Amino acid sequence: MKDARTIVHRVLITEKGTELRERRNQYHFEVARDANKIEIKRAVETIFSVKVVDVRTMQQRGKEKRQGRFSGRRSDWKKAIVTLKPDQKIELFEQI
Amino acid sequence: MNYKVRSTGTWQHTLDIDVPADEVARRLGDVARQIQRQASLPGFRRGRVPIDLVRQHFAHSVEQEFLETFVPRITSEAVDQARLNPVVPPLVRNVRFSPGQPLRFEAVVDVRPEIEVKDYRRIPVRRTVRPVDEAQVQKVLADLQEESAVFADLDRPAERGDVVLLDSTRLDAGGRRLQGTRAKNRRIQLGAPDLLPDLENGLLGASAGQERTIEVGYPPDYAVAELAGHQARYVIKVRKIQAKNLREMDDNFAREVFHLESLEELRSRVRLNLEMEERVRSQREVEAGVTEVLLSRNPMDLPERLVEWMLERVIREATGKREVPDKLRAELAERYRPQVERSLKREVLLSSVARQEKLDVTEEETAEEIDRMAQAEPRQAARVRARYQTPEARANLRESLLERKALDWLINEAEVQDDVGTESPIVVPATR
Repeated sequence: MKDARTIVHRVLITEKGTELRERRNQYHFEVARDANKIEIKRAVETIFSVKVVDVRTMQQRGKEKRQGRFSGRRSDWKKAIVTLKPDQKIELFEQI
Repeated sequence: MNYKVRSTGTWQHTLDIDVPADEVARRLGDVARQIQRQASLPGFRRGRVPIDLVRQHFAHSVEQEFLETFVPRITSEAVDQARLNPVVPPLVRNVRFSPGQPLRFEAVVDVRPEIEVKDYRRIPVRRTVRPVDEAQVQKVLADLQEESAVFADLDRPAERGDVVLLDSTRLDAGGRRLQGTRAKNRRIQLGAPDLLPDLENGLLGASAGQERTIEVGYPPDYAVAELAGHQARYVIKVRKIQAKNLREMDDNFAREVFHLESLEELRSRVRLNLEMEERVRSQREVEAGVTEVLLSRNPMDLPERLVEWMLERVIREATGKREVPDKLRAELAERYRPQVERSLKREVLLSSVARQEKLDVTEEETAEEIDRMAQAEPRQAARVRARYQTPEARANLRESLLERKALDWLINEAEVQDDVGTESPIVVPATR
């Protein structure tokens, strides 16, 4: 099995994510592009020691960026929205 | 907020202030909410960052802002509650602060010295009285005559007694014109007693329109330090040769130059002015004398920080906006310190005398003084009035009026002894 850390790259902390976390106990992650929902579920459960109820994923197109006359693209990536059991949470700011 | 007062010197108290942890936490929350409004982070629109993220990412600014705004406020509350009257802004030190703990710090407060002034009645002072005599009036009239002389153009080379009207520029060693040394339309009277001989010889025989280069040797004690004891070369352009004609000292002189009725009127005006100057001078002399005695009879210590603070202000006033290197600052402080201490002591003594004698300045008197100042400068009247709108400005004015009153009271009580003298004026140190 792949290492959990190579599947889940990072937690996304955004305004929208904060809203969903508070209302539906959902957390957003940037994940490996080739990871499937089952792998993501297992990875999140191992890293954060929580119980995952649902995983939804989506492909994100990298943004077009220009630097003067050169234009380029950021890499495409995969986003996962993970719903936890209602009584569980991930300490996002435990590094305080 | 709790505080304890301890005395840490003459006219100095130190407040040990501590603020309970829950109050600190509440205030920190307030500050964080303020910062939240401006904060932006990637993933959030400006002002939408959740409060716990703000506290995590902007911890440093939150604490800084908290210390900068909250500590001075707590300090001034404590100072008020302790009924202290600081003469300089309190000094905050030893701030011990960590989140979740009570905040503790010290505030050093210097208060205005309140002393019992001794021996301030019947202060002996000497006043020199110099009645204005006819010779002085005559001297002023002669000066006026000199200043209002008329010049008539002459069509011949300059001789002794003539006036040369010229432009001049100083030259450097290589014969180039020095920037900023150009003088236009100067009048030089040949044969005047204080004229440098080289200058006189260089100008004799010159005629209008001529250009000459002259060399002038300056005596070692010449007033301009840059030139004293040096040789300097000038290129001069003679504009005109003129005769200086003094006006006749008669009624016409008074009418044409001063728009007065007669010479007699001019004479009496001059006398009046001289008498006024003399009155001011002798008043100053008495004030200085009284202050001197008062200071010597009442030695005291001043709060060091008050002296430092005042010195800082004096130095800033003297140097304006320029950066002052530390070395120069120390020298200036050394030089100004005696004057500053003297004037602070004088202030303390006068206000103490006012207190002991129950002198007071009423609101009406303050208002009158403002009116008087406004009327003295009609064009600035609005600005003068605006300056005294704030309670602090009025309190300051009141303070200085009270000092004035105390000084007048002392002079009234003093034993003034008149010395009639006609010798040359003694230089009296200014009282401020």
